[in-house]
Amino acid sequence: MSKLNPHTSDELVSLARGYCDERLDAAQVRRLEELLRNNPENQRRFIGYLDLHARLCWEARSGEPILAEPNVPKPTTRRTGVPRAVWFSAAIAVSLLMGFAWWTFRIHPATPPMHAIGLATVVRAVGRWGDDLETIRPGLKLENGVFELSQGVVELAWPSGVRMILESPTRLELVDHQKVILHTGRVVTRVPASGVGFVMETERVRLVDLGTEFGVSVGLSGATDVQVYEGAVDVYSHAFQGNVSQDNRLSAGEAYSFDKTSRALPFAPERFLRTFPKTPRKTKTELAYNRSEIEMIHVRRTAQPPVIDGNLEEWDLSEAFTAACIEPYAATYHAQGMIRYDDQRIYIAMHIADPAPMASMTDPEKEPAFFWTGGSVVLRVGADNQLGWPLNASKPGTPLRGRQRDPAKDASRQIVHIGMWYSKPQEVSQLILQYGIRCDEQVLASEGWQGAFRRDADGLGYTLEYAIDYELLHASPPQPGDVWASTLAIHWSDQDGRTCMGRLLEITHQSQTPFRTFDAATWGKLVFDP
Amino acid sequence: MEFPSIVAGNSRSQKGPVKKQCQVLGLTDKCLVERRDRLCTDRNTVDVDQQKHQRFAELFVRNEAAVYRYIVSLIPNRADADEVFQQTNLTLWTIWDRYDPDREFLPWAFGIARNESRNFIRPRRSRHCELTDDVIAELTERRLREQEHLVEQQEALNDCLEKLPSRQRDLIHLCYGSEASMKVVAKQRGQSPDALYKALQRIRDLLHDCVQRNLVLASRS
Repeated sequence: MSKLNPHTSDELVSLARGYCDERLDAAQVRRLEELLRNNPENQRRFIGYLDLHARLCWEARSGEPILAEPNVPKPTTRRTGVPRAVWFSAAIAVSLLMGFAWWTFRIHPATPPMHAIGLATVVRAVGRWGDDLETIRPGLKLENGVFELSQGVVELAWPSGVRMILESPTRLELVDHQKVILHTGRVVTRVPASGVGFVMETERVRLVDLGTEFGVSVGLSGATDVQVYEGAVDVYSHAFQGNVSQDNRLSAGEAYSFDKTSRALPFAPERFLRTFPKTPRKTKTELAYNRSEIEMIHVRRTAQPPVIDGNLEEWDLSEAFTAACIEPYAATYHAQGMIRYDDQRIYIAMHIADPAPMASMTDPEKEPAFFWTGGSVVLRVGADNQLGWPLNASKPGTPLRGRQRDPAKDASRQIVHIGMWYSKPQEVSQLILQYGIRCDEQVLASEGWQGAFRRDADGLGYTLEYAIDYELLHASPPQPGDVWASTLAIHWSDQDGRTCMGRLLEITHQSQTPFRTFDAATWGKLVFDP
Repeated sequence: MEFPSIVAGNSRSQKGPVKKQCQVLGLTDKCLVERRDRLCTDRNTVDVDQQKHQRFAELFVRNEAAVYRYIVSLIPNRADADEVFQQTNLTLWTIWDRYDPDREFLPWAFGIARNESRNFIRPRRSRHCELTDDVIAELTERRLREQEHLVEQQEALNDCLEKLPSRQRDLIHLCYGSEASMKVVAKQRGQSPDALYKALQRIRDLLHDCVQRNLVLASRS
């Protein structure tokens, strides 16, 4: 570098320097304009100098050292379709990935994951990300790290041509241009010829794409379902024994579930969302959601058990709690609810305003972890006064903020996620019970409960009524004065009953923010009255 | 109107979704055929839409660095340019379907970037030394005409950056990568702002000369 000539200080370059540094006064700007006007050669030189400045800005946006180390790979051809700046930046990213794990595993960035130099671009989105539910907009660049899709649906495009559709809730870790780790959630990936070799890992398997379209879902326990629509995928197990074909290759029309063992699944085309859903105009960029305002619900003892028929006449609606999504959705998406108890059962009644009522097409037998996507009500409880409030139970990886983990509570099967919805294809009310803060065990209950739904006459809402035996909650009848930690989630779907279009969270610990579904310390409480 | 109460119970069906829909509605096989036809038509429309969208996404990824450079030429302050770039990207993605694939992408994208930078500068005019519209128009045209040359220049710059001593590289990183103002950076380094600006200008001049020399050498080889 020392041999280079440092002297380029003619008037134009001098003014260009000042322009880059924003240090020109009005007279100098006028002089610069004179030099540039109708003078192609000066224009060329000026643009050249500014582009040098722009390039340094561009590189600096990545927040990394301005230049890669000497082993930076370079494109083999002189010019490719993609500007070298992009490749160059990618090379920096890759080399740093190898050397600085702290950068690679930056979890939950404090600011939106938006950088000029990213691994993937959001090309369509109706959703929110992260604990603070930031709106996701098309054009966001995702760098490496964990992308947590809290609500909605997002489509990602990779420079290699790989496309992904993510359904919330999904935790996807972007490792590099060739690899992602799906921690939980549902993703459909389309890999063109230019992207062959793309790798997706889950807790159970490593999938190497051979140019295909395939869907993957990962539950909280890590259990992984894979379904191949086109082409083929090579599957490498981290540890399972089962009957996946010997060459470890899944081809179009095949579906497998990988957990402690592997097993074939019936191929179900509708299992995954393969195309970005058309959304109602008003939800084009916004999702219905709310700000929780209720911490405590009083649960009255009832002398006379209600008739479970979806008719709330015997309930005193004046005592109901109410919750609504924020404007402009409050009028369309809101809820009223009541909970009662006696010595046999707990009773739940709700009216939900919903423009797509009782539309769920989800199949809990095929996809128990995603029953809620078609619209549902989920009440979560710590069904024992002894568990206390706030309830110190959370899934691994949750920030504890000074708390000590309580393994007994983390493992308690009295923490129950009660999922209630109406199955449109089966024309029945459904109840799923997921036990433990991590939902380690789940039961699609057929006995010990009653449930009924009733559609509003105007088709813009529904009523639900449930009675659930304590036995199903591994609980004893509560006594007056008992407190159960609890929280409520209401999910709204699209008209097709497949995609969650919004969510309302209520009954939350108001001083514990942000709310986390799988951190019971952020839940509110049910107080049992006489 | 009387609504039936629906009490828990299971009756699983394994039939396809279209058939289920029709059965739920009490419709006939004719309905099945019609609905399938409609699904096919919808799917074809979606395919065309998706192809167009995919083409747009490719063009966007391929050209975003050029758009960024253009924005910096209008707004040389990095933080401000970043903001305009972000807004430009959002606008591009919002109106992507208005892009005519038979036309060049960059002129269209530059037009949007220009509008966004105008919107950004308007309320901040006092602190921005904006060039007049006619000069910007000439520079935009020149940039579009010489895009190929500008890309070559970026490639030449890679080699020059590699040759830059680490001390100077660190200085660039500090000045360009920091959110702090040059005044603050200068103070941290125990320098006057003028000295820091000059040091930075020297580095840019070195890189500029290096790029020009590499381009000349490349044209001879």
